[in-house]
Amino acid sequence: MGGFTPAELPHHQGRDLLSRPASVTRPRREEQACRTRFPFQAWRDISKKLHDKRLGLSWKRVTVFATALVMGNTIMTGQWSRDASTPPFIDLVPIEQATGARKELYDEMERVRGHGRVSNLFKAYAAFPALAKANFQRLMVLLSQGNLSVKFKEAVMTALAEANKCDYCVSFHATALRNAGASDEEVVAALEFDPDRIGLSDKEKALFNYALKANGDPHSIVPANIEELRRKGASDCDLIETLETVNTGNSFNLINGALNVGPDDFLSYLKGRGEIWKKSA
Amino acid sequence: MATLSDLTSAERVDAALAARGLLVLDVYTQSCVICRRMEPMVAAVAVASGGAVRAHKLDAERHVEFAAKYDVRGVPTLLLFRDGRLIGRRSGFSTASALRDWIGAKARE
Repeated sequence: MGGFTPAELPHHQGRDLLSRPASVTRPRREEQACRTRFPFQAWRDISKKLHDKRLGLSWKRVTVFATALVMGNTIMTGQWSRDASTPPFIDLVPIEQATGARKELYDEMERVRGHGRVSNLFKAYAAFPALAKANFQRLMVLLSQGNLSVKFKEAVMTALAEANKCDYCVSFHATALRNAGASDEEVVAALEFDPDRIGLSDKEKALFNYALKANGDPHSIVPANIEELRRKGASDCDLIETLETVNTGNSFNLINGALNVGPDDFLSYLKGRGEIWKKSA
Repeated sequence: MATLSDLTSAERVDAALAARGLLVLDVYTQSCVICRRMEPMVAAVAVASGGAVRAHKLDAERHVEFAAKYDVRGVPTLLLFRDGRLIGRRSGFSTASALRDWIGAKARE
């Protein structure tokens, strides 16, 4: 598979699209561990550490503070809507164990995205290496070429992930959306399917709704919808680019859902969607 | 929020209709794929309204009499009520933007 040079990546100039936004800090190893342990154990550990630091706090204050920390951590990070106790239905070969065509794919992904940034989605795809390479290349073409902004495409994929209830995909694309220049408020607007608050051009706002309509019921699109897009300046290429963004987002949502593929270790942003969906059901 | 609470009993339907304000009922069936894609749109509009619009879903096959009473001939169908009175209906998939415009226009009528 041919690689992509920075010159072919005009929107992000070869920088890691999935690097963390400046305002989003990755949880420390200690905090990450808290999420995977039984909350009481996390609470007890934090209480003990606070007490050991001899901060002059009473046990009562230590207890209140530790409870707040654990609750805050749970609320902010949540749990995946997937059943985390069930492993993925496919072997996600770690980077260090990859060989042959799989390793070639992983190497290419690390070259483009950065060290260690081989997503679980592509670890799954790599069961069919040639297809995985073709899909990664397709994704890179989609994100680096065409007329529409990466911010627009990631906003569409974030919205689709929300509509399709793929919590892994929400975190992944919301992270990429932040890195494409969106604020937290704009990410929320994408999750609420509101293009007017995402900071898009008039053409991209109209295309955002076109994407949602195509995803919801492609046969409901009528000539008047296309005429409206044309008035906003949408070209044939824009339509194809938008629909391929929908295809890509949907296909990733489907594979992650159908194979019970869980979150990447390198993601930390907006991980709580699954819990919110569960509570609202 | 990506999901709507389901009005599973006639009592819950009555209670929802008895409350004042704007209410969207998303009439669906279990086998309707477009309904599943529509639900997050309706839910997002309700959440973004900050309580101005309530929204629930209602299974047409479970509430046959209700569906007949309100002349629901296909799904998804959205029924918009104000203070329990039907003020609008809409069928087929709609984006959240289209729903916001529709509800806003109906509320101003």
